Amino acid sequence: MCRIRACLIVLLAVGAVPLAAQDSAATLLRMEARLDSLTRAAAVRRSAAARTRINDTVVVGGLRVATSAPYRLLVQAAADKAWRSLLTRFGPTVVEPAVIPVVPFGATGIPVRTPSAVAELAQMFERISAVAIWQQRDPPLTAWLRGNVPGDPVTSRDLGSVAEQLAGRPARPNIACLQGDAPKCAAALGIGIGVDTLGEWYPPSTWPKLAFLIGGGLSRADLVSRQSCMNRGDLAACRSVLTPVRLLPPVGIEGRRYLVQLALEAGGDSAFHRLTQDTSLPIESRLAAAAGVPVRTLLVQWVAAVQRAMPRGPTDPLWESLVSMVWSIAILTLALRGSRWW
Amino acid sequence: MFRMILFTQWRESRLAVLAMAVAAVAIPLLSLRGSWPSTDPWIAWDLLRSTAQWGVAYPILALLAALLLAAAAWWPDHRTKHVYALTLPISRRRYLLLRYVAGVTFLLGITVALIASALVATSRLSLPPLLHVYPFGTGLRFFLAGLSAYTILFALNGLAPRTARVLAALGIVLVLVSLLADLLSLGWNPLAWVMEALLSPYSPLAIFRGRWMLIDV
Repeated sequence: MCRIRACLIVLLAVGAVPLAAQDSAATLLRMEARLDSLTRAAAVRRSAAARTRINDTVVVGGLRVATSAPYRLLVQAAADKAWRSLLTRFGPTVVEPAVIPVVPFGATGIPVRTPSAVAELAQMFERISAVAIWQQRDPPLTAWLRGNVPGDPVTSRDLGSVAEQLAGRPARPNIACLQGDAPKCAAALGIGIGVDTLGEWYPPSTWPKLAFLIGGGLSRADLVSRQSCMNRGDLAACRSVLTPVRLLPPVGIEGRRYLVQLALEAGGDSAFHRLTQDTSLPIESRLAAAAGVPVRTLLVQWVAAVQRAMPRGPTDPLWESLVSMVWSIAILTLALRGSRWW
Repeated sequence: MFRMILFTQWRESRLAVLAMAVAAVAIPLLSLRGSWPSTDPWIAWDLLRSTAQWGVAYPILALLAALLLAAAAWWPDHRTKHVYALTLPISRRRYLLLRYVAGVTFLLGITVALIASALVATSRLSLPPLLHVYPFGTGLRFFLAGLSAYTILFALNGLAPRTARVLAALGIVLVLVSLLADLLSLGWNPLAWVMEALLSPYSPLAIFRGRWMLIDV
């Protein structure tokens, strides 16, 4: 009995302290400071652990890879390949002066021993370097592409997704764009739109759901605005929370990346140089300069490619169905050939 | 003769066929359940999302139907040691063909149920611009996927015990070699190759990949 009473007293004492302190801002601040200190300690521990594993550096041109001795040969081969590819892609005048951040590789302890790993690793180094080059040479365009700079070519499947986005997202320019209206496609891609991005892209009736679709990273005030927008349809609150950065674009970034890819392909060898020559110009002028054709021509090509890649139902492509039938016939023929019952 | 085979096979597999038909009716109706007011600006978005989410159900159903139909095609003969088949005045080849076609007939029935349900489900929609419904396309893809899987499983079920044992042994060796290669960090995995080959664009199961969209652009 006495033990139970003692336990109750201890429990009350333990519970009472945090209950009393819950509302106290000072306690919250103290906890925040402790959390910060723990985070810093974890970062220091990670850094120390990485230092013990990363003890070698491979340098090829401007590409520096921090790695460990067992990976040296692999990293050297991949870095050589990546550097050659970067020189071909951007030209020595662009690549050589670029400051590429040191790429860490090999600290995770993942066993990589296959020849295919060289190609994959080279692709990774090239991608990291290309992002750095784009960011240094052209911050506005990199921001417009939200960091998703041209690299691997945009595939037909990606363009199919772009078509689906155009048909599915209720943005003002989308339907006309998918039907082939090039200026509407420009608006859908975020080219030449005014200050009121939200108003130009979406009608007010769509704003509450747009607010619902915003991901995380909202402040308390933003959360209140979002709730107000979603529940009461308060358009002012919608405007405050649906900033251009958070807004679902009418077309995904792949669409924008494909437009830049078209411009670079059309412009040939010096296209990148012309594109990034004057970053203060509007994006449409720079794309036209890079491609050597008016931006409208590029947009016509863009929408034609999207229309071609448009998904055409579950039986598309037809050859898939034919292949399946041929296989069925072949397997059935084999199954019927035997003579034994069991 | 075919009617007799069809009847005996129906007796063995009717529960499975009916269950699959019910599922085939349910999937399109469930994927488009609820109200889709044409005034809603987000209708195209919601329709595409819902169709994509439910799209995975079609290949799963096709595989399940193929599995059950192939098992039902062989189960009575395996159970009775092929006595019934041996009493019939027809060749093994013809008998197997009849059994196979009987299974395909049931698969066709399930497909018809799927198409009918898809037509009903999509008929009450007023589609936004640029979206199309594909009840027949979905049905055809379902039938072809089911046919591919059914043919493979039918052939595997009919293997002689020795061949079946060899195949099983090969499978086990494949798994063991893959495990060993993984443990030794050799960087190649034969099991992954086989899976890749089975699902590659020109493989017998390639039809299971891709878009299973009842409503699409």
